[in-house]
Amino acid sequence: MIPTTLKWIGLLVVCLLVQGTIGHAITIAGTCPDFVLVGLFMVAIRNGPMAAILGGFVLGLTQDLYAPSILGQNALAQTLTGAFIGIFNDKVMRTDAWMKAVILLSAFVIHDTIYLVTGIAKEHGSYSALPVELLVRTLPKAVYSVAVVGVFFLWDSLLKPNLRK
Amino acid sequence: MTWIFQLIVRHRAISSLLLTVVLSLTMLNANAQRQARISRGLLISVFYPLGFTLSLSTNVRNIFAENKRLRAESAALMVRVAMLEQRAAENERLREILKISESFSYDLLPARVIMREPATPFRSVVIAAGRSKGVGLWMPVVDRRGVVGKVIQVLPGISLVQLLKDPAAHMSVMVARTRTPAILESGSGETFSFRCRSHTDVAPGDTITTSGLGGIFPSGLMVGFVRKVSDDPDPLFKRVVLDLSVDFEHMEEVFVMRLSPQWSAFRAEVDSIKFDK
Repeated sequence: MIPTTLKWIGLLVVCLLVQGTIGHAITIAGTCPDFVLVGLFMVAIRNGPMAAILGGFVLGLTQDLYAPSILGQNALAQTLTGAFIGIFNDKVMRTDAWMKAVILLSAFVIHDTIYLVTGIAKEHGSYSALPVELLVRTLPKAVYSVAVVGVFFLWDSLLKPNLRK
Repeated sequence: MTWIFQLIVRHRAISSLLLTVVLSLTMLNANAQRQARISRGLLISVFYPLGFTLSLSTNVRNIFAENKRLRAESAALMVRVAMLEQRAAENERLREILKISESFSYDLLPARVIMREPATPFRSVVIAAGRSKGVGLWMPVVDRRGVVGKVIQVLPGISLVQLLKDPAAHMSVMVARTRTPAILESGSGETFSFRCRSHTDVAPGDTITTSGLGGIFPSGLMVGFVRKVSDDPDPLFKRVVLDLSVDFEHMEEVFVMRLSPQWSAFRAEVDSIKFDK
């Protein structure tokens, strides 16, 4: 039996690998799903804020290591997003699938907002492009990711039990 | 001090959040050089062991694949080496043959031995050269070491060669040093000797060559060396035992000397004689 912690760490590693490999292969109109954030969402929603914060920090830091010039930017965004999702974890409150989808969508917005704000602040850029960026890039990415997760959710909750019967 | 620790444990989620946010902001605010140093340090300390382990497992997998590939290559190379060794040996033999071919002034036709008489000791061999290549009856056959025998049957593509070791093959030889002629005999096909006068000067180690008197073999071809000289039952003679220079057991290529027998000119005359009925 694999310990739960190892299972979640394995999931995050798989998400990173999937993002790096097939993430770009399923791009639609320049938008690809963010499997890393989806993985963090799954960890956070099941294990609470503590695991989400640490998982988000390590995930973000790992992503930052690919481009050292933005070191800390992903780590901060993922940490705070993980903390946000962790608030709604299953140990505290039971949420239905639609609620989870809304939380995931919100997580995307929060993540990208933090990421973009820190980036703009660091570069001393203009914040005027932020809403457009969120609308044009973040929202399609979030919808696409939720759709992909939805397929897995449908398979897991509806089709698999029927197949077992 | 204890209460700080207790506070951190009690609010570990918030403490973790604060710690990670502070760390993230610190890294974010660091200059490019420092960021590069931090990321390098992280890569080396945290991710390098992971990468090393992964690369190790990949290497192990590669080693198995490489081992498999090398085994196949090794087998192929072994076959190739065996082939090359065979070619090298053949090359060596042919070089020696060429040497002897250059040293002889006779018309030599190279031929491969393709069959031996199925008896022990074998007394004849079949060579892959026949009438179509100009081989004729009674032509002498030699190899790089000396006289092998003579052609006793000719077909279009192959010829039968009677070897010196055939007890029926009597050849005129001579002691090269003293030019003393004699007739070579073989009792069993394994020992070779000739008789000569008891006063003849012959000693172990003397070279025996063809004398040229039989009409088939030209004189001076190497036959063998005297091994020992012993007494003959007849006190007027002594028996000279010799070792043939040709190794019949490992004979692969021979030369047919395209010479007509010296008596072939007379043969036409003999054939033309008409006997009265």
